Amino acid sequence: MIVVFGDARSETVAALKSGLATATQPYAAGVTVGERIPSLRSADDPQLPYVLVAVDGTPGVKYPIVAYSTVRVVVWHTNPDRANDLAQLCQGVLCSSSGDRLAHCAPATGPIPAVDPDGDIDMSWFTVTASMRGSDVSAD
Amino acid sequence: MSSFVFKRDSKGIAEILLSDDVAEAVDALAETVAANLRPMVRNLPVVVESYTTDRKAAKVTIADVQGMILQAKHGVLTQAAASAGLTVKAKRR
Repeated sequence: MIVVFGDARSETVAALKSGLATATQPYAAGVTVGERIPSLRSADDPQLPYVLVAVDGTPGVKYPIVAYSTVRVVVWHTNPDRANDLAQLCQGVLCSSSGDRLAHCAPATGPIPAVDPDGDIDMSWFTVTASMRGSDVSAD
Repeated sequence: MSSFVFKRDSKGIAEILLSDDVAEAVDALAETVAANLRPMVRNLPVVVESYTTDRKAAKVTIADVQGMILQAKHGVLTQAAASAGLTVKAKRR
């Protein structure tokens, strides 16, 4: 038996893209989900709202059952309330997501407000613990 | 039918959590987190403090206002904790 675990970052990005695509809340309108801090952001085009997904550190693996990763989600938005609302929504989407690879996400820290000094943009960030299922690839 | 009875020894558990051995283990982990953190925050001060609640504990702080942004944007504290084998969880209240 050869067991591998899915990538927590790509799975949580997919869950957020899917969950936010159908969200009707005004603070989620036009949101972009990505894996890098936008490098082309400018005062004229702040690219808001933006949701960054990152995995902090290495996963804790209980082979061959499950791998745990700390996933950090950072929201940049046009004001602090919208940043917090969108962060809450992202947390809700992740913690209600489950699939073949992503077993579940549990809230860890936040949402916590902050202001990005690069452009003076409101932010809110949180972390979840993502549990990834192991899958047997020996027959693939 | 077995007749095992589980009795929680709260006093004994508290004694262990407040022992020097636990304090030593917690402090060593906090120092590891701080050592992982320092290269990521360059010359910002990283402070380790031991304290006691109902158990021995320690905290690692970036003692500069930039620390909050470095955690938010780059996850320096969560990375340092994960690299020390710790899982970041919400504090139970």
